[in-house]
Amino acid sequence: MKQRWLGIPPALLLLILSALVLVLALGIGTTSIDVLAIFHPTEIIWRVRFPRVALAALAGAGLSVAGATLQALLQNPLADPYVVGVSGGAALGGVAALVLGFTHPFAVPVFAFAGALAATLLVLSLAGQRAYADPVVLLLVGVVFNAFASALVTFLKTIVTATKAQEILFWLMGVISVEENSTLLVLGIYVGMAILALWLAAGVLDLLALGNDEATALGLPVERARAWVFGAAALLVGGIVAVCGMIGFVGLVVPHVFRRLIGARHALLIPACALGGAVFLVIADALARLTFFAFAAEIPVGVITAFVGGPFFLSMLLKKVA
Amino acid sequence: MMLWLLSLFIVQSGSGAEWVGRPPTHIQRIVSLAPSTTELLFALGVGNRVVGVTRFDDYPPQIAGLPRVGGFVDPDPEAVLALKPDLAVAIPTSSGRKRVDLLARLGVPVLVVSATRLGDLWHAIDTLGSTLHVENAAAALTKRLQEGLQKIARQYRDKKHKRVLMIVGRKPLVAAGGGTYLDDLLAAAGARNVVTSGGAFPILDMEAIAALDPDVIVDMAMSHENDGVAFWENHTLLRAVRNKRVRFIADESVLRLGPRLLDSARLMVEAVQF
Repeated sequence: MKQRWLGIPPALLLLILSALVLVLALGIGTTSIDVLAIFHPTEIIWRVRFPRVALAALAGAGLSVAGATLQALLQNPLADPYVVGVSGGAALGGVAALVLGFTHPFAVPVFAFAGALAATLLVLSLAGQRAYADPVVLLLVGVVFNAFASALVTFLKTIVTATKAQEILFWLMGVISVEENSTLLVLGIYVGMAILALWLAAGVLDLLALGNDEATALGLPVERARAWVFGAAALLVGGIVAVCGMIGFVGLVVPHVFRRLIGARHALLIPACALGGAVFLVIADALARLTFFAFAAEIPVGVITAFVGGPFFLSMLLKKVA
Repeated sequence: MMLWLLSLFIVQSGSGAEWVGRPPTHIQRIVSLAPSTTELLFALGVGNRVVGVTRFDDYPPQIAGLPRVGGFVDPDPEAVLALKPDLAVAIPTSSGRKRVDLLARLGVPVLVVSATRLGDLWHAIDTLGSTLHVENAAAALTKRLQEGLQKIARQYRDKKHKRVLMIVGRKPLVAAGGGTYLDDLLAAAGARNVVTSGGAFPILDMEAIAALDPDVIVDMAMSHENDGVAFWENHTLLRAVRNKRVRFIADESVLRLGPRLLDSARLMVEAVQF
């Protein structure tokens, strides 16, 4: 917090930037661009764009905080809900709910959460203690799990009806669609509470990031703390994947940038990642809307985050290997 | 609550059409969410009320300057809403109900007309005719198409029915099976579909095709015909290939269940009978 820019504290700067991006994003649509649209809002702004921008902000904040959390837990800067397979597990859970024919509104999120949790446990136990010694092992296990999960999703897609198959396809590529206000409200409470819980646990995350031995030496009941924080991250990812499908790399890019800018203390990092993740995904989704002008079709937002995140991930990996 | 309200407006109007949202009374601006429904609207003489079409639309020529609102699987809600339509016309697609429900929620009623079997076309014309108050044009269109089809069918009724395989995709090999409009079209052209099981569009492999042993293969996979020729000539284990009985229909309209039905039927006759 020591650095200032034109005398403005970074926290305030980030808030102003976030607000600015949200306003600009509301002005970018598939039919018109008017950055000042917020000052003369039309029906389209309120009923179509606002729900999209709100969902993108929620999902971006949640995925980014989940990424920061996983990175601390696994002591691995390359961890991301998508990369380590948590998103894949959530998608698999959601698809299972669809294939089994559960129609209750909470069936898909509950199954997605169970899938995220199961994937986390499986990836962790497969990677075992080696994960903490060698970060690449965890990534490899995550990659294999993701490949397996998407093969399983594709298998399920083949054996169901065409309508269900299209619904399933949505899980494989993240999309920010126009959801009902009630869905946004529930997701907002859910994501907000999970982020708040992780923020309150910032001190624990700081200790966990030091490594098991150090954290134990400093008096932290490591196993129990890890279980709780993992649970919160899985809950976050499960809820978001249930509504938006798999959107990758948000949880990788955003925490990395902020760790550089403001340091690794989670009391600052968690709220900064929440705001920064929201801004990142809102911009990516606005870009997705812009593609409509060129193709009369929208590129799924997951494709855009992968375009940004893929090269970013590789460059980080190269630095690690070199 | 919203969902419950919405479900009240889902009124079944005949077996082949469904309203999502409250049926409008006064219709001046229509967005068509499928190329086949666009063609129907123009054939019924209400093309001047069509204000938006999909990115796949290419017929009739009058649609050239119209705004594109996305595809039939992925209509963009903002692009539709911006055109301020009184009605959107759609066909059921593999994307399920979500997109259509969203449009209805945003205040655009959607008429979904089935487009699976030939019989669905008569329902669609009838429903559009009564919804848009052009009943006479609808009746005339149905009469013209049905009589034309009967005339074609009469010509080939007494001939020996060839056994035909209809291909709609090459990689993977996708055939048109029973329960499809193409199956009905083939029957009208005086031939029999060799694919009778595996659903509407089963994926086959070469071995399965060799076992079905069709007299004629009609390839409607819309790509360059030379690619198709090169593809099939390697598979000499098929009798139809050895006998040079692989025919191509490169006109995409044959896959659309719309007012150009008789052209499609003639293309199918040419492919299987000559």
